[in-house]
Amino acid sequence: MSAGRGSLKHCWIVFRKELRDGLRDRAAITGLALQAIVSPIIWAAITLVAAQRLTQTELVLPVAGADNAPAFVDWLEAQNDVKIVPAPADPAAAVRDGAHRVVLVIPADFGARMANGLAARVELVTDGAAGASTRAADRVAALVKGYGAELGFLRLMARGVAPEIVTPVRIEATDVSPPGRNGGGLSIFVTMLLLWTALFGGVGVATDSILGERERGSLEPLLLNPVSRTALLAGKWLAAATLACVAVLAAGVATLLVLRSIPWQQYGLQLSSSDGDLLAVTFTMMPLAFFWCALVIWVSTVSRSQQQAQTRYGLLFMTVVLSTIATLMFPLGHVPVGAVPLVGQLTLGADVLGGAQPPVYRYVITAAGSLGLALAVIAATARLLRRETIVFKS
Amino acid sequence: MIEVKALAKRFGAVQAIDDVSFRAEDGCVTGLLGPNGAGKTTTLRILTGLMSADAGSVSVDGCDVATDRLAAQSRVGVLPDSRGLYPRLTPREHIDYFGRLQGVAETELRARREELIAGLGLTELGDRRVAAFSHGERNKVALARALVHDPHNVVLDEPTHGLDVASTRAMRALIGSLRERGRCVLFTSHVMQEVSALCDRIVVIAKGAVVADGTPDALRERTGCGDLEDAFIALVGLTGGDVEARA
Repeated sequence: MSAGRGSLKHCWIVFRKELRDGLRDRAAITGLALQAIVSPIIWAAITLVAAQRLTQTELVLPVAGADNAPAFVDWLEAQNDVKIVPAPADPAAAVRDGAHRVVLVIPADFGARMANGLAARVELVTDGAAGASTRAADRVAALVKGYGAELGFLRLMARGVAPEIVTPVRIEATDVSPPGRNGGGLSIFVTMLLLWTALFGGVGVATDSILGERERGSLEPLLLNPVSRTALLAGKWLAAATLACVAVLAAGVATLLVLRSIPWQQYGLQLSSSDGDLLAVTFTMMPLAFFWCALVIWVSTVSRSQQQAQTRYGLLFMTVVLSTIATLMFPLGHVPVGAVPLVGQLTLGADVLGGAQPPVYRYVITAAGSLGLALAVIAATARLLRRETIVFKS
Repeated sequence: MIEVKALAKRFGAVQAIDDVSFRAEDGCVTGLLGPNGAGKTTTLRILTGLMSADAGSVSVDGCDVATDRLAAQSRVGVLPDSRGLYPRLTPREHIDYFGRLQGVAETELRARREELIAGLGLTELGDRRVAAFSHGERNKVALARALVHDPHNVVLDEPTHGLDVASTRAMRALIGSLRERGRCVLFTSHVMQEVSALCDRIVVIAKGAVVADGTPDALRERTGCGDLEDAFIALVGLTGGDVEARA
């Protein structure tokens, strides 16, 4: 048997043992299964609640001093989806406490100023720190502006002036985002869910790979076998990554089932992604699992104790969080960046689920970047495993 | 046959072994003795391919451990100092895993596995996960995986350590049967009675060097001590107090 074929065979033997051992870790498997099934359900619930709040179209508008401008209030009430209600005694407190999103206050001099051709003022009480209040305030401001414009046009026409004279420039916006982009928030969540599953799915087996064997006293007996250290490490790596890929696939399928079982249209949402898109993102995450497992195996090899390893895992996950935030805040569309593990998967996943259709080469670059780096990490770790200080505790 | 020639190994400022040479012949039980820290474990680690020597060489059936590690390792079965098992695997699965890594063919492996399970008294436990096994039961599994490829050379590091009387007897019987089958057995022990009963030849290491090498009778003769334990103490230059402190 040639050395190459022998190594492949050894790699396969280690792979099968690690997979069997890993699948028997009931606590870890239950955790993964729960994550895969429960996360999409929680995500869907949050999305639906958010959607309901976003699509509440009726604007409930408390107006203080409605008697000061009956014509204005009548006009407001005649607008679509606006309901005028009496204002609370203390508008500022009501908005601050969240009892009302906004309150419109019409001062007593409104009618007098209007009659004299002066600009009549209204006061809008809002809470700039609350998203719902800001959105409502924008709507009220637009309504007030609309009323003012209508009055202004009438006054100009009464004086024989064409109203266009006061609007020399007019905005006509064209939205270039793909259809269904309004469901953009969905894509980040699903991408993150699949990404985390790819990162966590194989961590148990990968952590155990060298550190666990050394602490248990089984590393020495294992290395007594006539097997190359690269084959040993490769078998462990492939087993960990395979478990992670299965977890990602499970999470992908669970997400798909949840997605398809909810009548999004009824909630005013349009899903921008097809089943194929979701599966594409699921498979996009798999090379990341290979990279991450390689990295965790490296940490497991160089760490002398579980505490030391924990500190290093902490740093790794901190890197994940920071690069995730950076990627989402500063979207990088450049092709070479796609080869960077994590950044590539995040960008590609968000793009696909957001309704874009990236060319095939972007998938290839993302996968090749992660797999190539993973191989390099495994090769470097196999070299480390030849060191006596790595193999023996003392 | 295991042949160790002028082995030396240094860890930082400490010269762990210096000029260790001996031969363990086929059909012979060779005992490697020495006080704690004498360099036994380092010697065993080098001759099983886990460590590299600074100088000297080890060959197993003519295969040099340094230049042809894999060939040498396939000719040795080792029960090392650390005998960790995989808690979620059964004894049968342990034996299969190590047998496959040693390249034993599947049909042969099945027969060999059942032979070891029966021979070591693991029949009842064969399909149970080893997590809840006793020390003695774990030792048997570790021994089974060391012997799965029916190696020509067997290295046992304190094989009876922590075993009860019955298991110790069984282990001694096993060592005897390996010798009868012409195997080369090299083992370390602190139990002089065991060494005296089993060894055809004794190699004594002290402070990283071989201080005596011969049959038990030859060692007794050389030191003028009737008792092997006294002979050992005389050879390694320990006082009775050291020995009691160790015991």
